Amino acid sequence: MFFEILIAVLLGILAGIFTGLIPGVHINLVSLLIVSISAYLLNIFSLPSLGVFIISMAITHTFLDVLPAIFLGAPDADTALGVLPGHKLLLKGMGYEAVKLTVIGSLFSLIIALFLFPLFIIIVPNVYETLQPFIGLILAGVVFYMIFVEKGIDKKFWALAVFLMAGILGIIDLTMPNLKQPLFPMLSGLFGVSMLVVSLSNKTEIPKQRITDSIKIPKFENIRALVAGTFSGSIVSFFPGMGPAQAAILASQLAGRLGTYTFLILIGGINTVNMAVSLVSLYTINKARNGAVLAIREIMTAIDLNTLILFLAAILFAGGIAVFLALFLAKIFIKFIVKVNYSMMCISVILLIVVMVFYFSSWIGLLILTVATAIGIIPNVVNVKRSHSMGCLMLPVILFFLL
Amino acid sequence: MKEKTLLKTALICSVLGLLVLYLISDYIAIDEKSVGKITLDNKDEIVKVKGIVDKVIDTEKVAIINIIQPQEMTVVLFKNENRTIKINEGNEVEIIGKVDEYEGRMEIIANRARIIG
Repeated sequence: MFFEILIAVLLGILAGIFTGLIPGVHINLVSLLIVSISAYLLNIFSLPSLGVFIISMAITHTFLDVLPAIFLGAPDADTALGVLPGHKLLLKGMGYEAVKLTVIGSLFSLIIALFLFPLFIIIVPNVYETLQPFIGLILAGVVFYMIFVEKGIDKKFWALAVFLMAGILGIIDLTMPNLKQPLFPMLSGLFGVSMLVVSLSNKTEIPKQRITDSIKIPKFENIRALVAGTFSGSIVSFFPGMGPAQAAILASQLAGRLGTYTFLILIGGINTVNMAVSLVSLYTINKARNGAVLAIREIMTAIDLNTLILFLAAILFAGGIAVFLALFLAKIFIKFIVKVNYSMMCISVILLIVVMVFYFSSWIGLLILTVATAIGIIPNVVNVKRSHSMGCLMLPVILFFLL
Repeated sequence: MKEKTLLKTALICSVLGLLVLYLISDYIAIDEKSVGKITLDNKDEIVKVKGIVDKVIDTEKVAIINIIQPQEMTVVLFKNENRTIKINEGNEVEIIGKVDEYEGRMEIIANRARIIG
């Protein structure tokens, strides 16, 4: 049984490399594929092995999906807010450090979360019951605060406008029938293509990238980011319709003003913790809060304590391996990225995103990508925070809870 | 933070994870159980049973299967569009599922059912 489980973890890590590095290929896609062919796979693998495969893939994905977000500006929902600070460091020759910071966040928040697992198991059923009626109001309060802290009436107006435009786009996008991969064109437009277009117009060049052995982060700042990431990444994993994107907004307001370094630690932490802790919801209240856990529930119906421990061990193993993979792949990326003409690379990435959007979501996807790109450029022009574009996911979730 | 510290921590995590995987994997394997030995004490346990299908009541969302070993056991199989499996009377099947009790009788809520003969 051990070797079968080990093979499942290793295959999961391989699949996680694939989904993490290729923009638009989400773990939900592979998880659904596994569910649909599970009847055949169960002739070769046991039920827990399939679960271990999915969870190892999902955890590896959360360590590696920052690479296309930082180097190519092609994020998914979990890394969208990390694009700008990551790219900012890339343009200072610190792309490798940007990846390392998210990896630090992922690994250490994961360790903190694993220590807190027994506590989560006890409190989740109560927290879920108590907080669920107020989630919409809490999120609405966070959004109100985000807009309120923008300086001056002009910026407040533009922040609200960006939030509402992105939100309305999100509602249209997420409720559109027969649209495959609705998040990809919307998030690529709001956070990826818009940033690449701005970089192109600024005639940006990528400087020589450096690899440093250590990053100096004040201890208190580091702890603040890790605690905020672990807390918000965990709390949103208990509720439906919420994910790392909402957690990032929540955490950045909770933790107060964060620097570029600490914000990247926060983003990395939220992303990984959210995935790991969502297993608690499956174990305690038998609810699936993301595609990967939903696939596990579809295959296994429910999990017992031994299976939960098995999954946590797989997470720890895959998480440790993913650190080495992320740093190794980042080194390859920075070697490659300085050799190419940045403007050409931006155009190539935009074209790649356009082709992938057309492949996944056809003409309607291209329309969403265009509108999202236009909205995504506004924060840069009017100088407000790009996180207001997260209205694309926040507004639908707030309305889901309030209406 | 030094890269060495990060890599050392990652290595420790991997080794610890591997060790726990090794230790827990023995407790994960589902042993085959005789239908006659399934009692109320086994409620909520995941078990594996094999038997011959005696009777199938097939509805849109659920199939209720009676298997004999020769002792009888009811298996409830919720249908899923992704995992449709056609089980007929006389098939030899292997069922993995959770033991449950319904109106004083033991039954298995199947996670997985496959025809083995």
